Amino acid sequence: MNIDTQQLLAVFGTELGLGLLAVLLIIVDLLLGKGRLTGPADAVRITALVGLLALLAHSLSQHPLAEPAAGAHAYGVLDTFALYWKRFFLLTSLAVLLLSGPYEQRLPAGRAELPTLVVVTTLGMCLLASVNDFVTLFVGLEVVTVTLFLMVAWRAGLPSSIEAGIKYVVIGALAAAFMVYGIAWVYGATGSFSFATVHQALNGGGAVTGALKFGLLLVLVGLGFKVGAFPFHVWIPDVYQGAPTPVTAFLSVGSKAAGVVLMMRFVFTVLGPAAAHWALLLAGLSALTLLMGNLGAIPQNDLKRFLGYSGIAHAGFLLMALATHTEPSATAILFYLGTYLFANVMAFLVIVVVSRTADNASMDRVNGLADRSPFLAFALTVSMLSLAGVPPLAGFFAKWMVLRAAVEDPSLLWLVWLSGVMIVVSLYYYLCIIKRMYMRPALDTSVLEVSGVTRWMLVTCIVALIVFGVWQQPLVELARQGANSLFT
Amino acid sequence: MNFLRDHLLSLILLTPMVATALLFFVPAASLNAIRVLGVGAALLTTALSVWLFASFDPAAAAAGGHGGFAFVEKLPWVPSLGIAYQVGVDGISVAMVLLTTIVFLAGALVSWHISARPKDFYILLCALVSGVFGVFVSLDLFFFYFFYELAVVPMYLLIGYWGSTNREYATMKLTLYLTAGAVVALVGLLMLYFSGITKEPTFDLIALKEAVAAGGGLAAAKQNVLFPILLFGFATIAPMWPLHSWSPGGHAAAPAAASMMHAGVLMKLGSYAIIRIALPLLPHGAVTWLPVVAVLCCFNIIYGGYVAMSQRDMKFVIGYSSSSHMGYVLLGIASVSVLGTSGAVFLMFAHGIMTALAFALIGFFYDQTHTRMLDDLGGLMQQIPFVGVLFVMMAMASLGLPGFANFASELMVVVGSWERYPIPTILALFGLVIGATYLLRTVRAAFLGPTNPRWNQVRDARGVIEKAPFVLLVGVLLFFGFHPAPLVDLIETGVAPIVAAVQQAGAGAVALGG
Repeated sequence: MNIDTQQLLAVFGTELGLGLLAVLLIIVDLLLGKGRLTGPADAVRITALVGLLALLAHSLSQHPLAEPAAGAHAYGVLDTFALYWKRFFLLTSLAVLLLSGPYEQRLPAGRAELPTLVVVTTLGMCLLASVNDFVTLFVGLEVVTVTLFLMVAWRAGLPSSIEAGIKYVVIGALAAAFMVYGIAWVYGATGSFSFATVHQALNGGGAVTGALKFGLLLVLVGLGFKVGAFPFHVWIPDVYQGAPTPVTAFLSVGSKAAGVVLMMRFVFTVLGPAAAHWALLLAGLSALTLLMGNLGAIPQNDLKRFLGYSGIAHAGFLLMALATHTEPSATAILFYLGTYLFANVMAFLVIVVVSRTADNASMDRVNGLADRSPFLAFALTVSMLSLAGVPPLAGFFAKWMVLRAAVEDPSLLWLVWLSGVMIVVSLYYYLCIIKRMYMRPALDTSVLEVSGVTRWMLVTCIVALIVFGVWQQPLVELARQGANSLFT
Repeated sequence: MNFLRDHLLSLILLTPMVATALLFFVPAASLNAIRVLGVGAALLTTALSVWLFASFDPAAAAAGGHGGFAFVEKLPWVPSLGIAYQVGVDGISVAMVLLTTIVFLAGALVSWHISARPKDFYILLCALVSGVFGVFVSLDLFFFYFFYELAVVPMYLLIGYWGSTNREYATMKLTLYLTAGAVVALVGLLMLYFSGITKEPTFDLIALKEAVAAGGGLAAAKQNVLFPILLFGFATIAPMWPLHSWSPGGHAAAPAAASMMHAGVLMKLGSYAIIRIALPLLPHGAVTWLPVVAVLCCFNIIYGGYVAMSQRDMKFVIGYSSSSHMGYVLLGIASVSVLGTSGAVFLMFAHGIMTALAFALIGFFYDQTHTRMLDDLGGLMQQIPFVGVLFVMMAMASLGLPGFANFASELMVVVGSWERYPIPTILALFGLVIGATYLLRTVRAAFLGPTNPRWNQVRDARGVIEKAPFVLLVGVLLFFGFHPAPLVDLIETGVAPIVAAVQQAGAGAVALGG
């Protein structure tokens, strides 16, 4: 096989940069660590931040590459879709690193290694944005899963963290097993790992073998694990609750988005027009996921667990857009996750501050927050309302775009109605958080200190949610360009 | 001046929004700055709305080439999704904008002395008003919905934080009911968008209306499916029986200014949306479904009235009376006659002012008595004659005494609906008697009778700030009661083409049926 090194470097430049950055971080840790258990945490984190910023800047300056010549095997693609997501993942990991700053004091050990792992996970996610065949897909997925497993169990002193880690790894392994098995079937049926070949086999006009369909179904199941789709959502509440808060944020935004990216490649690139045969399955998954997430969120009393269910509910919405499988629905997904990033990061920032003195994030901790810190209460209100889809916040427009795309397909009308009911349900539980902040007395009236970085991040998120909620055009345009390459 | 005139609607819309944004940066401790900003925004919108009312020329609007709308502004917003910022008004929306601004001004004034978190209160009030204005001036279905939902949610915190009786339950119920209605309407609007009225799907209401007027309307069967979705979605906020149960509890729990906005303006959004979107775009659907509305609105009138009669809490009395009065509005809409539907819009205006007055007055003495129970009150006329007299005037307006705008509007509704729906009209007339009963009983129990020494410390309204909102509202009721022509003529110019379209569809249906 002929490998074009230049092309490979051009496609995977960001990944290479991330890999080098990870090595650099280990060196910094070794040189400055001097045997301290906590390590040179600040130095490592700042290096990581600078490195990620530089890579983000580089990524922003990049242009999509032309399609490789027919016949030449490409290990990855750098289309507008991949670029959108690479930027998204770099931004997410920046946010997670900034988020972990105020959290780190709680870690007895391993402060310096956490940023390194975040960088490696980001590498895996960026790799997934460019995938073009099933092998790279599996490799990228495992990089993400394994590093996240380590981070989930990072607080080794806490049984809940260990429990979360074990649950994550067991279910993750199960999902990986499904996926590898599925890939084997796909390979058996088509003789290739390449997306293009499978696409051709599905849409070429010839008979589609049951073996291929079975293999693809298993792959889809494996992807459902990352996204948090029914029935592979079961790990989410426990893992979200037990993991360190910044890691939960990473799971809820980065890891979920990575799963969605793969599902989009799966639906739009691999299946293509054949997706019409899969729409009902996706719609059914969407319905079950919507029900599970929204109804499950109602009785929760832990903030992180609550956000886990809320995340499942959002996955249901994204699956609805996948079931629609049109260009507007793909655009809607890109927009949706863009706004979801800001809303979720904001929620986790507030959680880190309010649960500073505790090992859990019980919902009681936000009681009376409006009296203790009006600013934090306002930030969490904006976050909840955006997740609930209330104008003028960006989450509203995201939901609106998904619905608009879905209504166009009359066969999905039942799902649209179901999601409409679920929007009302979700408004209920998000309002319950707001109720606690504004209408309940505080359990603990100690002063909440909000660091400069946290404050600055919260302001950024609030402004982003309001601006993209009112003036949607710039983000819509970005999302449109990002989704565009899936359809050309 | 020309610039201002060309962008009058945007200015009206932006004023409360800018006030909301500015209020964020005012320190919570500087009370006067907060009040000045809140009331100032209200005054500015009032001035602009009066200017709009005075300079709106129906003849020019009809000839303006914008489907009968004047002051039209259009700005592409998200072109790839067919969204444009488009505003414009006809006679109906001018009346509604005027109503909103008057209630906003009165509400901002009665909240002057609010002590708990005044900054947040005014922020939410201004945000709510922005949404309401947006609904009344938007001519783009996306923005219409955007503002509709924006008007609903601030109410959650307004009631939940500053409210009284059973506030947490009431506010959650209100928000969920209204959002459920809104989501149903949203799905309906999106289905309408894709239904193929125009060649390219568009949210542009003018283009949609023109396409329907030019004979490009949907097949009757399709309209019959779409109309009830929009109808029941919007009628939740109207509130049409049996979707009304969020409303009295919400009224009762809300603080004075929120009740005023809520009963005075928010409830009108539903009927307005039906008149603005459902009737002109789906005339065949309207012909099929409006008789259902005519039946359901009798429940509003009679059932609402009877329940109001048995209430002991004054706010619940007014709350149920509101849903009873909204029955008349729905009856007027169902009548499909220029007189009846104009009467409905006029009644929306008159009832908005009247009910805002009621809640302002109740809020005024509730702050001091901390009870609104009729059994505890009594003889208040001795201690607070100014408020008492105005309350009696409010009650007279509400029960339809000539001289107040409510009388003129209810008369128009009843006369207009007689021809098409005689039985509901008779029931509606009976409803007036029920109204008189509970209103007079309320006046007697709260204000008349022997002086109750328990309330000797209750003081009357004094000073300009306290009296101004009451005087303003009563003044408007009396002015349009004695001189309804300017407003009614204006409303009729907006209603006439809509009613004509529905009547034409109805005639077509009859011809086909015969």
